Amino acid sequence: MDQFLPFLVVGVSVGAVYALSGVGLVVLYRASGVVNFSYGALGGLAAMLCWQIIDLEYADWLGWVAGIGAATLLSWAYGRFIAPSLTHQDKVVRAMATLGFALLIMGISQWYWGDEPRRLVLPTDSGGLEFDGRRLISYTRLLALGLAAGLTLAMLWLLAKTPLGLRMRALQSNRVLSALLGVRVKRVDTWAWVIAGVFAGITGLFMGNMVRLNPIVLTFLVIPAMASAVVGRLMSLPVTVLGGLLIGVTETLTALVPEISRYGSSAAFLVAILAILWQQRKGIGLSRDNSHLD
Amino acid sequence: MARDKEKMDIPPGTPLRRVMPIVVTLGLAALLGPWLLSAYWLNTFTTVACLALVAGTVALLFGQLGMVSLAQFALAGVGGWVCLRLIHGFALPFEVALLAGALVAAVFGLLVGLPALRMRGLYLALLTLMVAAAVQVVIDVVGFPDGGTGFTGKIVAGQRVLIQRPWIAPSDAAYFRYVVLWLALGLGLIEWQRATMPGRAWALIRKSEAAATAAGVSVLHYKAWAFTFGGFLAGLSGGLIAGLNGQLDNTGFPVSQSILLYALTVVGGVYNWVGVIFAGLLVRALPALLNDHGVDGNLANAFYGFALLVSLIQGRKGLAGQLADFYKFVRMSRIVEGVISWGLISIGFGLVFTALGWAGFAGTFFISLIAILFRLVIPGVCWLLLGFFGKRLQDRAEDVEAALSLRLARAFERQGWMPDHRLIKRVLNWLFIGLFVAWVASGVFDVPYATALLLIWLSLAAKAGLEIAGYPYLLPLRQRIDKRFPKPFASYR
Repeated sequence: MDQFLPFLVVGVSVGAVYALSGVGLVVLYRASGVVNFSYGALGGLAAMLCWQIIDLEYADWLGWVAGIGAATLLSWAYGRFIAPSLTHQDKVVRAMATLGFALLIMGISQWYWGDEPRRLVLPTDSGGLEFDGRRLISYTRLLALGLAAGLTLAMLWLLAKTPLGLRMRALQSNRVLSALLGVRVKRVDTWAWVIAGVFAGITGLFMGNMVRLNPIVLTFLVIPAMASAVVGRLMSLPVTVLGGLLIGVTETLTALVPEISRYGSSAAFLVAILAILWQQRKGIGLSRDNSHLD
Repeated sequence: MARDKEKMDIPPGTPLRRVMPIVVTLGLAALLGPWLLSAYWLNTFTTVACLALVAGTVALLFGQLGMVSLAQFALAGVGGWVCLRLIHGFALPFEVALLAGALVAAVFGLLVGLPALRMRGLYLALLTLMVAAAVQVVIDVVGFPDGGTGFTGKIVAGQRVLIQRPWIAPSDAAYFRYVVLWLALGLGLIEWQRATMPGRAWALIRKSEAAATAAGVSVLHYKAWAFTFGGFLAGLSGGLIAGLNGQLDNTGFPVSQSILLYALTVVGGVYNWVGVIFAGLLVRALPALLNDHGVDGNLANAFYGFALLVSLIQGRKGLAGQLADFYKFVRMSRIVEGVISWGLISIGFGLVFTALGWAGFAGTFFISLIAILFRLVIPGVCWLLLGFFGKRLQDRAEDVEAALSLRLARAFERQGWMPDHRLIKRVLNWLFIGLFVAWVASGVFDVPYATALLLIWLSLAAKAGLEIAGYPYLLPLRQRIDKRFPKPFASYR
């Protein structure tokens, strides 16, 4: 049991960050129908900006605010100016457009900051919960877990109890009818992108701290996040959180088995593939609008 | 150009007619390439040809069926792995191992595609992304075979073994031709299918699966076939990449490359084989060119992301699609005349410059030829690039230019000279082609920028002069050619 615990702790905390990213993705997908590939890239930019500001000897909190703020601003800009030109196209095209945005941001971040090894240090790294004189879990990881739980509950509350959430759910059901009923589509969409941006910034900072502070690596960490969103069928927030935790734990626990330890990083993809195949196991039928087999 | 009401529109060509341009163009490229390119660029363009083959499969799945497959490049890795393992383990001839690798990749492609039959396009994109990422991890762990024993075939201690090139294509130049021939075969097969039953079935499935099923077209079979064939060609390309360097690198098939390949296939144009070639060039040749000029590759990536965004917003036709729009009404007589006159001018200037000792013959010939390509094949190239930024911007720019041209023409008339209403467009085109092609050329060949610029502008001037001088003699000839081959490209999308 002793040897499990550290792995479990790391796995759960990384999984919590994946879960948080997944939640951000799912909220955005539910409100606007777009799978946001640029999630990781925005997070990466937030982390690099934060590191840069701390490196320039400014206050720590300034870095966090700037990082999260930059991610939110870019996400808002995309949602306000670029996404509306694409709403009439199908979901795949809109997702691929965010891929273009991701490449753009990743290219600029990688060009400016490059590949040097860096570390993003958060003040909560130094302390932690002690047990038997040994460090059990650092405050950063505890914070990640706490935020994952808290922000998910906040999103659930937002979607269920607030007028904005109601409008988001209306948009998800039927965009055209919602517009006819007076829901201000652009405004609600923009809010969804802003929320996604905030999530991207926060998770970017955590990933930069826990995984690696490198623009390309952080951009492609969107893939495990998408894996956890897929587990939640792009719809259910609690299941997304569970998916993220599962992926995180599986990833780190594979380190205990020597034969498959090197395949650990493929845990996310395997979980996602299995989830996709499981969800699509029903037979072929006609889609609701009779246009294709679903 | 008023439409000729007496002549019927030519229906989309017979399969042979549609495959011909591919075979002819790539055949010419195979012939001329090794002669015109340096060793470094020859290898680069060999990789471009392999990547174009993979891009062809991406275009097949996305353009014909609307299915995003981000795993094609990973399938190329699978094909390359199998090819290497078979050659190291059983000393099979290159072609046999190549085809075996392609077959295995085809099976993998089918496995990836089977869930696609029940899946909305978005889930397929995510699934293929996960598959590509998983393959990247597996390749990272297992590595590519390099002569060892055991299933993975990796050498533990000792010298890595490279595979030999196929016996008919040992040298770099010969291998370039070999790869281009395979590319022509692959793209030709895709185009052939587009022109016959599979193409029509795919089009109907794309339009409405329910209608396809009602019409008796088996959605399952044709979708599965698309994935299988796509996997086959991707695996083939992987084996060809392996043959280029004799080995494959663990880091050679990352997810980022898969994503970039998809993005640039869309930018190049998914509905057209020319777009696929553009995609290969953008993925491999353009970064190499930028490297030569000292531009960071990451900025290129950023630009590609931007280009993908713009392409998708504007309707996904891509560069090749915009080209096809311009190309639709070009007349055969112009093409024939252009090819002949430009051939003469290029050879002429090549000889002159070589005699004067300013630059090598191959370099001058190629630069002159490229300038033609731009002027003949891409009329109004600056407008095309403007169109990249939006139809409205392009239209507004054209309006401004038309107004200015009109004023200028009237001024000329008042002076008693012959007015040219397209003067500004021509001048801008010349300037742009000159500067841009000279920049490309000075990077690719060792021709000084100023010499290249001079050469291009002289060639363009010579062409214009030839046109003006020869017009009265050539007009009847043009009319006869146009009558014989009306609107050759009207059916291109």
